Amino acid sequence: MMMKYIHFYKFIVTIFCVIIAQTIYAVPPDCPATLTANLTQDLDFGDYVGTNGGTITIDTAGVRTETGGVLLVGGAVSAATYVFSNSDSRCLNRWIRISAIPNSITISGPVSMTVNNFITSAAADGDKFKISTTDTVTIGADLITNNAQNQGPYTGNFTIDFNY
Amino acid sequence: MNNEKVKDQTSKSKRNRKLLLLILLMLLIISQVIALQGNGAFLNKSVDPDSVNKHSITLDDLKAVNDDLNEVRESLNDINSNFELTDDHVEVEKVEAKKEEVKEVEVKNLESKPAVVPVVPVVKKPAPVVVIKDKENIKPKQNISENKKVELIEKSPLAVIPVPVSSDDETIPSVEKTADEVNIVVETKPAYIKHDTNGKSLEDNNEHGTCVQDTKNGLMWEVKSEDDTMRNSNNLYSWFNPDTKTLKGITDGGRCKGDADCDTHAYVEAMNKQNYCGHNDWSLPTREQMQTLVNFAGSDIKTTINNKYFPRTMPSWYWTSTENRDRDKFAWYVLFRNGVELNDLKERPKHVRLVRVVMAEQSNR
Repeated sequence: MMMKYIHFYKFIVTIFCVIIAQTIYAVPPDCPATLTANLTQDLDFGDYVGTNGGTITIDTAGVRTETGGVLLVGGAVSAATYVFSNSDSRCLNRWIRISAIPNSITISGPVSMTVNNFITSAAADGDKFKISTTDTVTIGADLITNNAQNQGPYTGNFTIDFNY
Repeated sequence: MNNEKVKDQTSKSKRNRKLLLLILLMLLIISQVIALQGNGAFLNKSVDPDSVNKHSITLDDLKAVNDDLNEVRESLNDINSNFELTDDHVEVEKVEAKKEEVKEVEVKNLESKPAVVPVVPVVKKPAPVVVIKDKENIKPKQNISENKKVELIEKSPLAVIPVPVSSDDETIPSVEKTADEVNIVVETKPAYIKHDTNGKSLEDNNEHGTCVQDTKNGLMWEVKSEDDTMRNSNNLYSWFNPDTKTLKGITDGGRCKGDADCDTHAYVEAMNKQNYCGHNDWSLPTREQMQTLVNFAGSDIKTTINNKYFPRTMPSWYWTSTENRDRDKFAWYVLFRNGVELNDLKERPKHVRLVRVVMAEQSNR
């Protein structure tokens, strides 16, 4: 008779454990819309001398390389840098997806140039990352230069979206 | 007496089982309510934004879940009604597990933007399996005694367990923001920057540059002239360096216009004295420095130099300050007809183009 009650209570405890576990596992908490992404660095290809058409690449580490008829001559060089800030513990480890990354944009100056092949430092995970309290995401790209590119400053801009 | 005792035990067992089944049914309902409401979180769980649109649910799915629950209830009722202990034996009942998968449902029109959809995971329902097991061999017409052990063993919990597709995509992102705008900046520089006689930079299309600065390395170069001064492009100078430890060369051994003697040392001294292009630190270029001017893509096919910035360059030899280590009577020069470096006797007159090294901060202007 005693064994019946022991097994009965074991059974009840097991059921409760399963219910609690499935509730914890299946239902994440709400994350308030308090995550922020502040731009701390623009995407800067620096200065170059163009003899023929070529490409300047800024990788996500901010390192500049060139191919074709391009000579790199200095100037400030940087990848675009966003700092994501999270002050709410409910958002910890929340996946942040970066979206709306442009495929190609045109920047203006004496004549136009094309910037494409945008890449984020979170590209390995499908342009998403798990937020902690402060996380940095950098964005690099390719600059396509033309033959006899007129000298002068060239500028353009783009935005990204992020959701969580 | 013995029969009454057995009947009493059987009656108690039945009551216990009914109570148990009632509790199980309540737990099932509670777990479903919790899972469907999706707002009773206990821990932080990460959310994969890519799970958006993959596990949305429709009314049909909710109905399917409800049907499944009804089936479970019916199964439990069957167990309850079919199970009876007799004096003769213990009846073993087994309800086979029902393996049923609920379909994944996609809501296709949520493609473009994350939607707020209740958390309803794909449900895989482990069917309830209740086995009533007799631990002893049961013989027909054997009386049940106290040592006859009858127990309930749960093989799987009687709960509907939400099974996520992966560990990371349990819920749907609900917040979308646009980050600050990124500026893209780049500047195309000319290969050389022109300067006037005072060293002030000029526009690239200005034809009156007297010296030019290489934007790649910061070296500033003399530009030859057509007038009758010592900068005339046709002037020739002998190699001479009073400071060298080897053969110093020869003074005034060339043919040149202007006031200075026709040797390299006199030319450098005169140019610095007149503060050419606003500077007085001009010198004869080294072999390596002179080689940076060689440009096979120059517009003038006769010379291997950029003629836009170095007009009036002769397709001829230009002295460098580098001496031949093996033969002290010789120094190196660059032949701008083909860009080749050669060496020759210091006394033989050649063209000269002076250079100065611009400080790093100045080169960025």
